[in-house]
Amino acid sequence: MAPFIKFFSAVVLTSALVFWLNGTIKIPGSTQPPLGKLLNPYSGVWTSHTESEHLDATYAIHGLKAPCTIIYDERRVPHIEAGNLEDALFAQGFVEAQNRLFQMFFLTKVASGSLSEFFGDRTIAMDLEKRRWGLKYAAENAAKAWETMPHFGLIQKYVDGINAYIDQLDPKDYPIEFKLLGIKPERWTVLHSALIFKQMSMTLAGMNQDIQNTNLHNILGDADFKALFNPSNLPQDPVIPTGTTYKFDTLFGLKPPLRMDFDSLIYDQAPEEFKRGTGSNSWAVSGKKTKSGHPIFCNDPHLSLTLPSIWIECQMKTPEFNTYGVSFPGFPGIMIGFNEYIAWGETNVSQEISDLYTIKWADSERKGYYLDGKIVAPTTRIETIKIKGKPDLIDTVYYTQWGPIIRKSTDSKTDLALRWLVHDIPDKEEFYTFIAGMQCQDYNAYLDATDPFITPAQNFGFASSSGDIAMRVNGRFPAIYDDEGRFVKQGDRSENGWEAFIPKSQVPQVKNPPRNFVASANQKSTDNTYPYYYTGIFENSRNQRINTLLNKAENITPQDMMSMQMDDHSVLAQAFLQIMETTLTDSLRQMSEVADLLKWDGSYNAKSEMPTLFELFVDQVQALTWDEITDKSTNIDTYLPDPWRLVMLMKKEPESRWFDVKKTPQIETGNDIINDALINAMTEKMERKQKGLSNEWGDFHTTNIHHLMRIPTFSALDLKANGCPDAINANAGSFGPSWRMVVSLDSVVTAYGVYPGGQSGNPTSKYYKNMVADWVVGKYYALHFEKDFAKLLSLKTSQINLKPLK
Amino acid sequence: MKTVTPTLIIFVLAMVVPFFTGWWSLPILVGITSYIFRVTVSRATIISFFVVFVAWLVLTYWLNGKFDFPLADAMGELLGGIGALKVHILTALLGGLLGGLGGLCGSLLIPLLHPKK
Repeated sequence: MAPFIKFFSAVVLTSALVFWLNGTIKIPGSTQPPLGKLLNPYSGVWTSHTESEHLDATYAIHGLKAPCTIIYDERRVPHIEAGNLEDALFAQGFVEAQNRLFQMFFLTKVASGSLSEFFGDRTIAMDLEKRRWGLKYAAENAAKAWETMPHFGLIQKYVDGINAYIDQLDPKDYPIEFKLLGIKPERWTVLHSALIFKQMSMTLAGMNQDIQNTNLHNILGDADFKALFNPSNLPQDPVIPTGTTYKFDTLFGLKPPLRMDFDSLIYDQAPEEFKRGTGSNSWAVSGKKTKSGHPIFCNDPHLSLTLPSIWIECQMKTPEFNTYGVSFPGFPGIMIGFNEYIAWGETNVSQEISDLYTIKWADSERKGYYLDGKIVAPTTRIETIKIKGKPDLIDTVYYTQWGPIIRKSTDSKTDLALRWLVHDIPDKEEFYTFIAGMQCQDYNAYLDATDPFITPAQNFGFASSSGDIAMRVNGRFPAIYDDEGRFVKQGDRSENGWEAFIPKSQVPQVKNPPRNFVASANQKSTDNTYPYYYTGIFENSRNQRINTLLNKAENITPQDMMSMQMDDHSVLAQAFLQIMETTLTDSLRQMSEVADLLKWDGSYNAKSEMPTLFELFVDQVQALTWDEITDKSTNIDTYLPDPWRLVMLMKKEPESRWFDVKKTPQIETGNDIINDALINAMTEKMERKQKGLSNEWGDFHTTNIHHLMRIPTFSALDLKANGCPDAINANAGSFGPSWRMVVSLDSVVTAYGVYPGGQSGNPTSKYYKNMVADWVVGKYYALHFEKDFAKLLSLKTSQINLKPLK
Repeated sequence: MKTVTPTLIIFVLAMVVPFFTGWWSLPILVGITSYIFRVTVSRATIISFFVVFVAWLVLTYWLNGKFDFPLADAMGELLGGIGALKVHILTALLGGLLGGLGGLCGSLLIPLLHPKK
């Protein structure tokens, strides 16, 4: 063979190997990461170590007005000292990117429905849902509107800070997940931050039970539906204390509606179910109830437990303000935190701010739909979903007057459109809420700062060193009729839309109430005297426990509040146990396991078997009682009444027809159900034991904190933690207290906090999940909130100096 | 003796230079060395393979030691449960292959630019 041909063949072979290992040449259908990029020792995963976390560094950067210092403490919390607000936000962006770049990137891909580009066809359903719900559309609307607002420059500074970090990043220093996926970080924009914000809106305000309620209404009829699914008559203590008088009436002459679209509609699949355990606790006690005489503020938001954690801690200090708290990586400001004067936090309001409408098409190609007797053309948005290793998926999303079609029928006759407040073009600076809030010194300033907040509506809790405590149900709420918003509505009449929003001056709020505390736990906002109707998915247990404990408490210390956040007592269990005391047969009572259950105090301790038995029992009670619903709804989407409905029926109507099990010849009562359910639960528990399964609560209900890509070695799995969704320590397995914070607003503010994760997003870092074990056992860290950063030097693990480049 | 110098040079190059020039530059560096030292085809291929194999093995063990985390085990799990040792060997094999082919290219360039008369 001629020398040239030999040489040429060798070069082609070598080049092909390099290109293949680099991912430049792809084998069709392959989803493997490019091995050369991934494993080479010069820039692959082997260089993703964390030596830099212990090294000081100086960066000369465009966009800063003045030098900025960042000291990382012993838990890798960044303490930012800047000359002004803009530089502080720039530095916040920089440190968030430095620690959580992949998480930020990943969340924007979740929100925009673009995961399949990296994970292949297993995430298509998730992507399609996000595209049809129009989350990117909503983010685009928000980002565009923000650009025109006075404080846009601040969020732009934050974005610049993120990009300053990305721009100096060498490929060998890319977060390990980028290497595993064979991709590089993209530059950040305001749209990315808007996507993060909208993703949180979907989590907190994406619940909608219109389909299930419509199905249930059709199965049960009007009277039974209202009797079983009325959220207003369940035992709970509202956010705004009962007895608060509302000195206003509705501002709008609302007509009673005749516009539900029951029409025998039965839907086989509902939007994503609202996860039990999504929610939060927040309370503030006045100085009259504390040992120090100063208010104490507490907040523990219950969100997805993931690694990296959903939160990142940070202190920001300028000559004008000094603040500490947590934020979502990718969004500026401090969402939950404190400064030298005030502390603040949020819980989800849980009111529904979405409605579904039937869309009747005039043709099979969806070119026009009926509205007010006319045929109106929808707008379309072509969604191209890239799928790793496969051809793109093209999905046309139709936008109607109400919003996007989120459910297409197979016959193209009647679809469902979503009217969702989250899509609306914001007319206020919602992004500025947490930037302004962190600088406030009193409640009036805080009210002004949080006024622009629209959605997801939150109970904004507040306490100040001057002695005020307060809570505002803050957000934008449609003014609706009784029962409006619970069912699918007819979309062919524009009068069926929302007519107005409740003015901010009329949203429920309370300041310095006589009971000397304010508290929220996702329960109903008000008692039934509040002039406006609202609906939602409200919590019924935690609020009772919190308010009972706070009513009794005196001489409260921060340690008492930490213990209370870790309280794993369920008032629901307690209520059922009281019923069992009077209804169990003697033969059952003589069994040692039943005696133990009756002695159980309702605490969900990881080492106890009683919570497991109780949960199996409740499942059985539900299954036996609600057979009328489950038998008829095998192929359609419904949900069961709240367990508190069972408690109420057992107490007040033990002979209720709902207790009769249809498939048995005899007529059962509530007492029969209790006894039968307990026998079944004990049998189930025994069978588990015979299979070698542990019945300890911590094993039955394991806590799993998954890495975002669900990589087991990057996760914290099979944790045995106390708590349950009905307890203040609302550990729901992979949802739960994502940040526990207690702030004592003494003359010198002292604060404590912990979250189940770590500050670094690098799975190989010792700061990646260093707080998980302490979070499980309820240990808190004293938060280093210093005025004088020289005091932080003894805690310093590394320092970043940002210098302006002229 | 003819192969000792290129062996050492390839080893040093593989340990240092691609940190600055990119991993894909490795076969080029090895190829140039083989060409300059006029290493024969079979020797260039075999020596380059083994030298880079060893260099990458040394590098991955050294870098793995910098972690507060069992990275090789985690990678093994991600690559189908192959175990840490196999991850090191797989990495070294990739390096060896790149090195060997680079050496081959370099040695095949010799008769092209310096044909025997």
